[in-house]
Amino acid sequence: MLHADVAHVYETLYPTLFRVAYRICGNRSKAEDVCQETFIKYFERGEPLPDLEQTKYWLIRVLRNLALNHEKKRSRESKAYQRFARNSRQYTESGETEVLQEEARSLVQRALDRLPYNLRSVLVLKEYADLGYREIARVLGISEGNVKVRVFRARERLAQLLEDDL
Amino acid sequence: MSRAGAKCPTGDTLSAFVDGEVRAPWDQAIARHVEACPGCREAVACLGRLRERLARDPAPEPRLPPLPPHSGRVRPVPVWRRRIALPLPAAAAAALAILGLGVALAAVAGRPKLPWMSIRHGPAGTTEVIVAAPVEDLEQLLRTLDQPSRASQLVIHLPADSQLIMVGEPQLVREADYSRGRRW
Repeated sequence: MLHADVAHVYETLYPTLFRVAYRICGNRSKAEDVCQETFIKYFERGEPLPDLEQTKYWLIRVLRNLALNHEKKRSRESKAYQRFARNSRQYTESGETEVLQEEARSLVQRALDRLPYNLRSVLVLKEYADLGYREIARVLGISEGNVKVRVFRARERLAQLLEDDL
Repeated sequence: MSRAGAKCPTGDTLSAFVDGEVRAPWDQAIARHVEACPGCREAVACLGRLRERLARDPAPEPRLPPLPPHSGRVRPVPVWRRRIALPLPAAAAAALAILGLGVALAAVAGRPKLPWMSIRHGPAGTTEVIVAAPVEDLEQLLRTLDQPSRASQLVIHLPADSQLIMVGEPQLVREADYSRGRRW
């Protein structure tokens, strides 16, 4: 893999990956971390992928797994923070930051964050990665029928959450 | 997104229709149905509004960090760091083979080291020991022969070129005393 190829892949696909990561993680800094980790994995990969399309699918698959790890971590941290907040009335800097970040997030992003991960990731790939059902199925290792159902369920829940805004 | 018609397409089909994921000729059939059915028309419109809302939602612009310098040429991953995908039966067979090899090696290592020698137990309670080379460790030979067996008679064939020398007290007699506690 030559430098030009790597640079081309990086410049072409980084915006798409960032968009997907942001919508899944709901946070710029986490999205950037996930994108960085994804590209590091790509650079560490010995063999080049056949074309840009295959590279995109590979990167999205890796990104989705890394985002899932972040999601689990966030869930653990959130639970721990809630426990801490119940036991103590002190406000910490990270707590304030979290409140500010929460306010800065858009209504749509907040609604997306409330979807279960398996519905959110499918809908994000559909809406923000411009992937068809077949490609999503390949990336996630599920059937096309499953993708169709998950996209619909995600939309159904999102429509309920954004009822006043539609 | 609720519809009442019994012949209406399911919600996931309408969602796929909005995404352009329904293949011909079904897409045409659904389009005709949506034209005619107010409930489905409203459901499709709602899905469209939702897609539009998601598309125009502001998101931060990606800040492309500079490409790390070492990424110019990807170093191949060393063999010992590469992951190997092995089917479960093959992995189980490999684990069994390694286990078997370990057991065999342990059995070989546990055996008394008596090269150039064979011990044969005869049917009449005799034990025949054939030594094909000069015995270096007579102590070990005698200890081996001293292990419990039903042999009443013990014959040791030493090589023809064995040279026994008498050093101090006759050693063979003393070792025979040691063996089985029997005095000859």
